[in-house]
Order: sequence, then structure tokens, then C-alpha cells
Amino acid sequence: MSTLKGFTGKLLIVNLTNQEISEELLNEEIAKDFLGGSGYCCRYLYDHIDKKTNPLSPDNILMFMTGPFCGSTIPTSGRFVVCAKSPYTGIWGESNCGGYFGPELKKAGYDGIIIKGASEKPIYLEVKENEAKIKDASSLWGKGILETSKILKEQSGSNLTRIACIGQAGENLIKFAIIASEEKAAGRTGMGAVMGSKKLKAISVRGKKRQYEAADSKNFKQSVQKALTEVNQSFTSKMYGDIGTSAGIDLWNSTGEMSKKYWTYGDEWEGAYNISGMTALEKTVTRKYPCFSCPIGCAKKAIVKTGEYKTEGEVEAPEYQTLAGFGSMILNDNIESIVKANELCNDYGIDTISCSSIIALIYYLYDSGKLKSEQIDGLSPKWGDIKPALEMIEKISIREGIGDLLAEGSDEIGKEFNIPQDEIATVYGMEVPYHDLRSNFGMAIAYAIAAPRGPCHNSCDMCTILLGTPLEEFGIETIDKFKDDSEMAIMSARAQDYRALYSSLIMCVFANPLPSIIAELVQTAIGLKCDIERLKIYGERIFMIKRMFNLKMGISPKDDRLPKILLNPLEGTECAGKSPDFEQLKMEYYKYRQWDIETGKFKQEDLKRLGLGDL
Amino acid sequence: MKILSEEWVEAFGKAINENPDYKPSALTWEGDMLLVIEPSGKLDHEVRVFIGLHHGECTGTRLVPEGEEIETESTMAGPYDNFVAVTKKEIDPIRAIMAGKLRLEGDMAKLMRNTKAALEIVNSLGRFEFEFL
Repeated sequence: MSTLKGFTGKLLIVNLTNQEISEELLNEEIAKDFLGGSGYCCRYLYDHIDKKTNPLSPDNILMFMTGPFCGSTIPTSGRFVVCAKSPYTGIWGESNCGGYFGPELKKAGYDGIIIKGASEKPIYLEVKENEAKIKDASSLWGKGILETSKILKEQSGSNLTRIACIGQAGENLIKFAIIASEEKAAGRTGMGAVMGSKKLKAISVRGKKRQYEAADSKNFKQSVQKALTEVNQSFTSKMYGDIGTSAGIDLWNSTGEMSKKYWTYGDEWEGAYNISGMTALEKTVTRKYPCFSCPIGCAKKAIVKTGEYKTEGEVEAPEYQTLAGFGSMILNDNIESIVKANELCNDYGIDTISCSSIIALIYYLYDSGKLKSEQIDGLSPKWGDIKPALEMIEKISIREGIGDLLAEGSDEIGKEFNIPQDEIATVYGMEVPYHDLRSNFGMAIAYAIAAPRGPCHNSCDMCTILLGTPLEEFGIETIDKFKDDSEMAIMSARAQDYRALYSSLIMCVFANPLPSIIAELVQTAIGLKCDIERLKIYGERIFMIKRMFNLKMGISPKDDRLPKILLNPLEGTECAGKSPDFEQLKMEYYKYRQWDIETGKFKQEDLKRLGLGDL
Repeated sequence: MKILSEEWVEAFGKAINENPDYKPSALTWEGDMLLVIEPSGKLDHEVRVFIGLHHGECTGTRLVPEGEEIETESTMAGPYDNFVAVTKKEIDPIRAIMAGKLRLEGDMAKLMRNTKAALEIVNSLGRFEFEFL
């Protein structure tokens, strides 16, 4: 048993090459320094993965990990994370996911699962109370996520059995394949492809009722209540709870932050009205579908009852990123068609951000005459017409025709068709999410400066912070979003640290009680002495281990770059003519971190201060 | 004219209608709004301002007397000092709402659809001259 509360103290180790299953005690030293979640995973994998490790080989290690808050009543703490070396970027891969899988894994007695090696034939892992079995998955191979989940739940005899699985995309090693659970997704960095490379179709988990044990239960309850009150009172909770993240469509269309027409259109787009949160509520959304212990409930179910995009019953409603990706990025304003695109991606198991961005790139290249129909299986992707996009989703998922190239990502498309890198909206090889950095200069850092898993709006959410949700106790203020000076560099760096902390605890970035309450929760839940200053150290340490992992994988400051298509000033809205001085931001950022801008090296005293001096 | 006077309330309604950016952004807006300005700084009592809104027009504004019960589609509430900061453009209205300095209550979906219209109502305050308390 762990002396730290909040953990079960055990990890499940599964070697798929020799089909051996064992248990390992949670490394308490790592847990004390990195808490749980992706910080724990990164510290663990730092010792086991190197530059030569092929991410899709048996040598890569895939970790499913919970955080110390998981299974408790702390708002939004029921998440789990999947980590490995990313097959898409070659650097740190992580993606966390809501739903109920994480708490169920803890109820089964495990903080996490470490998957090593690879199976020769398709298998799935069945985890029950303190035991696990490897089972044949031949009959599941080739099936989509929805059917796979349904079959495994039925076989287990309980709808409360929680499933994490891949679809055909993961099996086919699509570089941006997801792992899905309860129709939520660990979406980015291709963790589904790593799972597919190990022939691991699914993990099913069923535990038993188990009380969450906090170190100081009386004060823990009070801290949870404080956190709940704060989360419930926040405007963003209400906005995301009532409408979903699709509330951002109207908001970010009016400010210019929503990306449009493959990053080439800056004005307000009239079509936004038809795909907005309000339209979704009127036309397609049926109900909330919250994750474990979440008072917000941003996830929604949707249904399209008639017409060519009719769904078979309720499906997951598209979120902001998906609406922008299959909406404004290709100027498609048919919301039902986006529900369909989302359903296809969710079932085949592909990341909607990367997939839609790749498809929008094809529209852009076709529109500018750089691609002809005959080069893309006879498709004619014209702005506003989603039908070619729907065909491309299917082609990608099964690697059919042009889909085989698209499945490798935007950069590979660029190489194949001699498109300059500056016209391709990727950083570190991955497509950027849909918050236009010309409307929020903090996102330039979020996407392209020391971004732990590549371009990400969650590991540095300046898109929300600069909208008016500062974290002042952590030194993060809401500043002018068009600044590209030292202040923006500092605020963004601190946001990276804070979200690194969140990725270890693991909490949803939409739930933001005061950092001092988070410190109380760490202390009362885990039993580790904590205050704001200690939180800062945790955040910085967790962020730094990921940067160190990426340097070990061969990344350098030269990789901190942005393509011109994301920087070219646009017309319209309040961001007209604006673009950050990226090199200045980068210089200020490196200065703040005290890193060498040529080599990326850290100061030894900094590493010692963070307890990383031996690495 | 002084802020929150009857004269100011009337001028505010006129300014909304004369704001060229308001009408096109509010063509589908149906439902009145209540501003609730809470005591803070130089304001020692609560002031409520009714704003009638329908399809891009401000149909009327008035001070709501203390004790009168009134129902509106949406409410924007907050301390006087925060309203002043927004009016003087020291704080962006969206930031003020996100940060809880001003509280926007009502049908959230409808309000989000009309984000720009709501901003233009606030921006209308900058279209005429008045004195603060």
C-alpha cells in the first residue's frame, strides 16, 4: 500500500510480447515529485525511451495513468491520461480523456497500466478487481469504436464496465488515431496508433465500490466544497454547461479567433450562425453527457433525425474544435453534416483536429490550383461542400487511395506535392488547433514554443486566460492579447507550468478554482504539504521533464517555429493587420526560462532547484 | 448630464439606436435586458435600468424604481465601479463578464449568439458625453 493517499499504490504491468502480466508498486518518489498523470508517465518513460525508439515498434511503452484526485468528488477529476512517444511527432505524446474509465481503473485497484511489447495477434485486456487477463480480440479487429465498446460491455454483463479502445484507424496505424472511452477521446498525438501497433484493441475495466481515501478527510471535504462553489459560479462553467464548447463559435467568430478557410480568412464569417451553439441546441443537441464528477457537463449528445446526415440514434455532439474544423475551416455551415463528420471520426477513431486540418489543407491546395482532382482520387473539394471531406475521412481511416497519404499527416502531404512548409499549418509535425494566434498572441507560444506535446490549446490555454479568466495567485494575469513582449512570454510560460500541474493531477482545464484551493486539495487529498509556491515548483518540474524528454528525442530551439500561413496578417475584425513578432516572443520566453536559445540547454542550478539535477 | 440620471438613461437608449454597428448585429435579438448597478465606490444604492430590445431596435429605456418587480429576458449585473471601468474601456466587456466582474444572466445560448450585439450595447455608452458620479 502506498503511504501517499489518493493513490491505490499499484500499477499493472502488461508485456504483450510474452503475454505476461504482473504488478508493480507505485514509485512513491516519482509520485511525490510529479504527482500522477502525465508527469508521472513522463518521468517513468524518460528512463525507458530514447531517440532511436520507433514509436510504432514493440519498444515503445504505452501508459494509461490516473491522477491522485481520480475517483474523488473533486470537480472534473475523473480523467485519465494515455502517454507514449508519439508516432506523429516523434516527441512527447500524451492525451487525457474524461468519461468513467479512470475512476473504474482505480476501483479495480490500479493507479495505471503500463503496456510493453506487442502482441502478434489482436487481443484485449480485461481488468477486474486486482486481476487482469489477456483475451483474444480477433472478432473485434476491424470494428469501429462504438460497436467494440458495445460488444465488450455486453460480454462483461454490465453496462458499468468501462472500455477504452481503438477503431479501424488505430488498427491501420493512422498517425493521429485516438483512443476512445465512453465516447470521449484521448485525441491528440496518435496514442491510438501506438495501441494499434501493439495489436491491443481494447481495455475493459470493472472494479468494485471503493471509497476514495483522503489524507485529511474532514478538511478535504471542505476544500472540495470550496472548489465546487468556485467552479459552479464561474461564467465559463455556465457557458460550457448550458451550451457546450460550441458556445465559442459565436464568441470567437466575432473576435477573429476562430480559424477560417484554412487560416486565410480573417473577417467574420456569416456561416458561423448556422453552426453556433444556439443553432446546435435548436437543431441537434439532445442532452448533457457529463464526465465523472463533473458539475459542468460540457459534453452533449446530438441526433439528426432526418435527411442525408441522419444518425442512428444519439451520437456525441461535435465540440468547438470539430465545428470549426469541419465548419469554418472549409466554409461549411451545415451543422448536421458536421455531426456526421464527428460521428465518422469518433467511430473510426481519428482525431478531429488533425483530420479536419489535413482535409482543409486539401481544400486549400485544390482551390489554389496546386492540386488537381486526378491527384486526389477524382475528388473536387470546393469551399463550402463537405461531401469530399466526408469521403476523405473514410479514405483516411482505412488508408484507401489518397487516404493512405493523408493518414500520414499534413507535412507528408506537403512533401509529396512540393508544398512549402510555410503553407502548412503544423508545428512539430502536428496540426494546430483552431484558435487563431493572430487574434491572441499568447497562442503563438501555446503552439510553438516548448509546447510539451506539440501545438495545443489545453497545455497553455491563453485563449481562455486572455478572455478574462486569470489565475492571479499563480502569477498569471489577463493582459492585452496583442502583446508580443516579455510580459506575454512570462504569462504564457506560467500558464504552461500551471497546465502541466493540471495534467498530472489530472483535472479538466475548464474547472478553475483558485490555485490556493488546488494547493489545499493536494495537501488534504494526498497528504503532501502544499502551498502556492510548492504548486509552482510542481508545475515547473512537470513541464520541465516533458521538455527534457523532447530534447532527448532530438528537438531543438530551431523546432520552435511557426509557418507563415499562421502569421500572415489578415483583414477584418479586431485582429485586422495584426501578427505577433514571433522571434521576439521566443527570445523573451527563453530569457525568462533562462534557457540557451541556440542549444536549448538549461541552467544546472535550475535543474537542481527542481530536483532534476541527476537527469 | 450625470450617469444614471433619467436624462442619461434616455440618451443611452438613443445612442444604442444611433450606433450603426448595433442594428446589424442584433437583428434576431428578442427580449429586454435589465442592468443592475450595485453600490460601490461613489454609488451608495442599487440602480436598475430597463432596456427594451427587439430585432435591432432599442424600444425604450427607463430607470426602474425601487420595489418595482420586473422580469426581463436577461440581466447584466455588477458593482458600479466595474460598470465605470467597462464604460471607460479600462476593461473589455467580454473580459469583465468572463472574470465575473459583471454577471450576465439569462438564456446563455441566446446571449452567446448575440455576443456582438451585447458588446455594441456597451459600446454605445461611448457615443455620448456624460459625467461619472
